[in-house]
Amino acid sequence: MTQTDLWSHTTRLAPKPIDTQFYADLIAKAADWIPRSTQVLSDLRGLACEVRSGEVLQLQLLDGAQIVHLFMFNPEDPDERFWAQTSFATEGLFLSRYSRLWGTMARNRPMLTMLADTVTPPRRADWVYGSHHPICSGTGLPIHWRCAGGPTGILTPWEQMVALVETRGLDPRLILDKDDACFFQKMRIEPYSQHLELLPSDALTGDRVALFAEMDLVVLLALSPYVDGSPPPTRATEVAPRAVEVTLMNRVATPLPWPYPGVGYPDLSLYLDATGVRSDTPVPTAGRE
Amino acid sequence: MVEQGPLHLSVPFNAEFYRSLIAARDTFRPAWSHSVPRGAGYGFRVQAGQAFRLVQEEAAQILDTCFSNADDPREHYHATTQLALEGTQITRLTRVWGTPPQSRPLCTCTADTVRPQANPGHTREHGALTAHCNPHMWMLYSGTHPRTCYDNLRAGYAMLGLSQRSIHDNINMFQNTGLDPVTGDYPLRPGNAEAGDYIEFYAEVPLAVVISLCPDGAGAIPVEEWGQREVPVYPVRVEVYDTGVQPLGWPY
Repeated sequence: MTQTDLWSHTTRLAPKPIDTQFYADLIAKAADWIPRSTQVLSDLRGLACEVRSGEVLQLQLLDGAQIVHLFMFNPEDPDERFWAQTSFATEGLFLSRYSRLWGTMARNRPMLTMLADTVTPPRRADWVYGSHHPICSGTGLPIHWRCAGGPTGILTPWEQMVALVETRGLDPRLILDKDDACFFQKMRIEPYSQHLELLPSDALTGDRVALFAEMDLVVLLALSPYVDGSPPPTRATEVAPRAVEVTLMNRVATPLPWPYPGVGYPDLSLYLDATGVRSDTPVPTAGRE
Repeated sequence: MVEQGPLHLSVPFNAEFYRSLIAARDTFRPAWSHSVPRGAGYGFRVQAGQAFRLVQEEAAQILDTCFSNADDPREHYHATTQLALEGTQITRLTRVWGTPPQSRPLCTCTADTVRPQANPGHTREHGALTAHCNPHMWMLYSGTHPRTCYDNLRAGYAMLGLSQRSIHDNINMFQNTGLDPVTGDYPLRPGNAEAGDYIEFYAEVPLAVVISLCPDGAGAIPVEEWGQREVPVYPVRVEVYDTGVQPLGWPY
């Protein structure tokens, strides 16, 4: 692994080392991946997947562009969950091949790494510039849907995920207080006002993303009522999400340990309690009061 | 009532209420103030209808700032609602939004005295997205573990009887950033704030506010150079005012 590999995202706010060769080798063997389960998601009820360390989760469009929201947490410790804000600092706003999705403190480790992203925007003269697969976009929130004029009675991705979390006996307000990743979603950054605009996706039937699980995860998936990112319809009956195939591949490799050997790492005992979860006692960090 | 929002969204906003509030600033009565020493964290409570200022005492100093509902800390600042409804930067008349299901304004910015310098990236102060530094970043970049923002925020929440689990998304006051419209990256530039500059908020709900005086100072040193040279850091003053004005409530 070269230094270039370690700091592959040098324009990022908080770059972190990545062994891209490890992931390139996995991608090169994609033809050997063996599916262990396949489901089709085509409604606004969401789907919870148990993904084991070393497995690959693939999302493939079956019927044209469809935005898929993704959130995840550690099944053994739901306090460890996807943290969009810190992922944004390391990966930028848009995900693509080799992007990683990072978890909350205290471990603050990679949870999923993106291996495949086949969405390829055209370069026609009438094409509106934008990028795909944002994090921190907020388009899955009920307030976004309402402010966009979406009809009532439609379950937004956040509401779909609330139901999935509640079935596990967890408090959704303690789990779903971070944002998600939005695959196949296209957004444009307005350079002067610094606002984001949702645009119709450039994704096509057959496009896919594949993500490598760095640890055991519960992954929540939810289809967007924006469908491909077009403005919402005026009537609830007009929302018809498009089918997405969700495939879990058998374990393709043992994840690399985190942190990488020789990389500086804090003493986690400053933050974890005796059971190995983040301490809930209201005290400052020892030695750093 | 004015409807405003980014691009295709319509977000109700009573701009006249805030213009009147700002015009009445001379009638605000100081309630208390506190000087936070360099490199520290601090937590404080603000009543609904009070205003609070974060003042640069000596020079530019980034403040990683968390906002929670003082009565229910499960409701707190939500960076993605903020980005969706208000964009990436905070300035006068920007509202600060909380988590779903309430998804309501927690406070509203009523003053921002920082004057950004023109630069090719169109960056400016008070970023809504950049999270806070933590011991992982410092160990990675510098091999040291100072009082990071995570540790400072933890100390600030402990002052309010809350644990590190209350630390969440934050706003980076006085941090000079902006989204690159092509790459989606968020480059950091040296801060423009000067001694005496402040940002002021009007509390829409009872708030627990926790600030960290970032060990990265004004953000002038790239993370890869942390630990290679000393980062200057500066103190900050918190000022709280009674406005005598009750919030509008939400929803309108």
